[in-house]
Amino acid sequence: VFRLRSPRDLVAGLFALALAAVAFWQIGGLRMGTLFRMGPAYFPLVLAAIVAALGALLAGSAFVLDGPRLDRWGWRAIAIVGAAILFFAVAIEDLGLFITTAVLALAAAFAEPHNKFVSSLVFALAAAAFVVLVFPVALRVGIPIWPRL
Amino acid sequence: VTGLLDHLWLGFSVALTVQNVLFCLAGVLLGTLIGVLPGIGPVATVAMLLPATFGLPPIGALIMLAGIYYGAQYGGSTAAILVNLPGESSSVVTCIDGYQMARKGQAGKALGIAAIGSFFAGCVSTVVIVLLGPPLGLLAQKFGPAEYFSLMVLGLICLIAMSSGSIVKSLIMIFVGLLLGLSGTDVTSGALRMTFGIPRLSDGIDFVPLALGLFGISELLRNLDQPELRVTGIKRIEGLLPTRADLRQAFPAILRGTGIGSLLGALPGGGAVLSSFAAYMVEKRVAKDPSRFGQGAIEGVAAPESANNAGAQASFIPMLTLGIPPNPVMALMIGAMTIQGIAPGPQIMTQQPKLFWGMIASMWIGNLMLLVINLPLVGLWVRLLAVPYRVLFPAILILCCIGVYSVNSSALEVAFMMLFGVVGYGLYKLAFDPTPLLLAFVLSPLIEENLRRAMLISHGDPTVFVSEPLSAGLLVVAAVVLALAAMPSIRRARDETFKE
Repeated sequence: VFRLRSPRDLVAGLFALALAAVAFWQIGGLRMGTLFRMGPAYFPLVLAAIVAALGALLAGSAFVLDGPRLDRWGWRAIAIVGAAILFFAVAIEDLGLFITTAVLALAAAFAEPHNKFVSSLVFALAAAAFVVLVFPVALRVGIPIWPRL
Repeated sequence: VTGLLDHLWLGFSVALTVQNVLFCLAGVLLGTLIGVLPGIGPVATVAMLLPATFGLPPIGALIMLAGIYYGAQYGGSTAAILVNLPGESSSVVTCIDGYQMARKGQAGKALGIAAIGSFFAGCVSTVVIVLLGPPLGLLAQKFGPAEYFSLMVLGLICLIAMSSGSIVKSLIMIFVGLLLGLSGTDVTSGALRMTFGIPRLSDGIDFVPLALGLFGISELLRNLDQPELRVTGIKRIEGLLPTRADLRQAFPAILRGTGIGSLLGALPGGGAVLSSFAAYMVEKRVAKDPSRFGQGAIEGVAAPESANNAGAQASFIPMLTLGIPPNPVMALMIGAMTIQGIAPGPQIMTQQPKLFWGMIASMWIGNLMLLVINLPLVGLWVRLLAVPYRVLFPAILILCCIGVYSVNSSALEVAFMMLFGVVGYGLYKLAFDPTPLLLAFVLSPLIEENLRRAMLISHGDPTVFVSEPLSAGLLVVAAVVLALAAMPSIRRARDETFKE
C-alpha cells in the first residue's frame, strides 16, 4: 500500500529527475566516445544518469520514510523581486544606470508590504544617485548613466 | 627555516606596498560594513563585492577579497554579540554567551575579547599556513591526473560528511553542480554542451551570477519570507579592553579555540562553522563550572571566536596549495582567480610566489587592522545594525544587479542571476544545501580534465585509480568518510550538533 509520507522529498526527487532530463536532452546529439578517449558526452551523461538515479531514489523514499510537508512559498516577493531584476536586465542598456536603478529599488520595495511609497521613492532616488557616483564616476565602471537618445 | 623567512619577507614586501595595504584596509572595512548588516552572511558579502575587485590587479583583488572575508566574519560576530542576530552560521554559538554578556552591560568586553581572540588565532593560523603550505604544495605537484581526480573526489565527499541534512540530497547537489560546471565549449573536442542554443553560454555558465543568485538573491527572498526583525535597545558600548583577570580567564579558551579552528578549518565543508561549534563544546566540557555557559561566560565568546577565525584562515590552505575550495567563500576566491586569469592549483606557489606569499602576509595585516581599526569603530557598526531590512534589501538588490552586469556588461547574466536566485530559494524550501553545488561547479572542469587524462594514460583502464597507491589511499579515505557519515549513530550525533 503506497502512501505519500514526505511530500517535500517527493518534489525534491522529481526536481532532480527533471534536471537530469534537461541534461539528457541537451547532451543528446553529442559523441559518447570510449572510456579511453572520452567524447564530449561521456562525463556529463554519467553525471546526469547519477542525478536521475538519486532523484528516483529520493522520490521513492518519499513513500517509505516520513518527512515534512511542503513549505509555503513567498510568491509575492519572488514575483516582485524577479520582475524588478528582469526590468534591470532589459532596461540598463537603453535607459542608463540612474533611471534603471531608481525603478529597480522602487519596484523591489513593494516586496515588503510595510514600505511606504513616498519614503521608498526618496530612497530609490538617493540610491540611484549614489550608485551613479560610485560606479561609473568613481570606479569608472563602463555603464551608461543616462538614457540613450 | 631561512627559506620560510625569505618567503615571509617576499610576502610582506608585496603586502606592505601602499596600494596593497589600502586594498586590504578597504576590504576589511567594506566587509565589516556589509557583514554587520542584519541578514547578510559572509558568502553573500563576498559574492556581492566580488565584481568590485575585478578592475584591480590580481594580487590586490585577492588581498581585498580576503580582507572582505575577515571583515564580514567580524561584522557577523558584532551583530551576534550586540543584538543576538548571527549574521552567519559560524557566529551562532557566539550569540549564546556573547549576547548574555551584552545584556549584563559587558558588551564592550565581549567585543574586545572576540577581537583579541580572533587576532591571536589569525596570527597562529598564518604561521600554520606558512609551515603547511609549501610541503602540501610540493606533495600536490607530484600528483598525476589519477591522484588529482581522487583528491577532488575526497574533497567533495568530506563536504557531504560535514554538511547538515540528507546525504542523498547533498550528493544530488554535487552532481548537479558538476553538470552545470560542464556547460559551454568542451575543451578537448570543441563541441558545445548544454548551452540551450544561447551563444553567451558557449563560455559556460558564469560564476558570478550563479554565486550571487544562489547565495545573494535567494537569501534576500528568504529574509522577505520572515516577519521583519526589529533591532532595538542597543546601549552605548563602554570598556572595550578586557581586564587582566578577564584575559587570564579567556586565554586558555583562546588557545584551545585556535587549535581546534586550525585543525578543522582546512577540512572541506564549513570549516569556520564546525570549528566554532566544536570549540564551544570543548569549553563546556573542560570548564570547572559548566553552568556558567549560557549565562555570559567569557570563554564562551573567546573560544568560538578564536576558532572561527582560525578556521576561516586555515580554509585558505587547501584553496591555495591544492586548488580545492573547502567552503563557498573559497570557491568564490577560486572564481575570482580564474576571472583574473590565474589557474588555481598547486602550481600557484611556485609560479606566482608573490601572489601566494603576498596573500598570506596580507592575512596577518588584515587581522591586525580588524583589531586596531575596526574595534574602535564599533560605535559606527552598531548604528548600521539598526537599519531595518525593508530599507536594506532594495540596496542589496541594486548591488547584486550592478555587480553582475559590470562583469561582462551582459544583461543576460543579470537575468541568469534572477533565475539562480529563484532556484536557490526553491532548493532551500526543498531542504537542499546549495554549498556542495557551488563547490562542485568550481571543480567540475578540473575533475573532467583529470579523469580524461588519467584514462588516456591508462588506455581506458579504470582500475588505475585503485592500483596507484596514492590515489587508492585517497579513495579509501573518501570511502571511509562516506561510510562514517552514513552510519546512523554518527548521523544522529551530527544532526544534534547542528541543532544545538
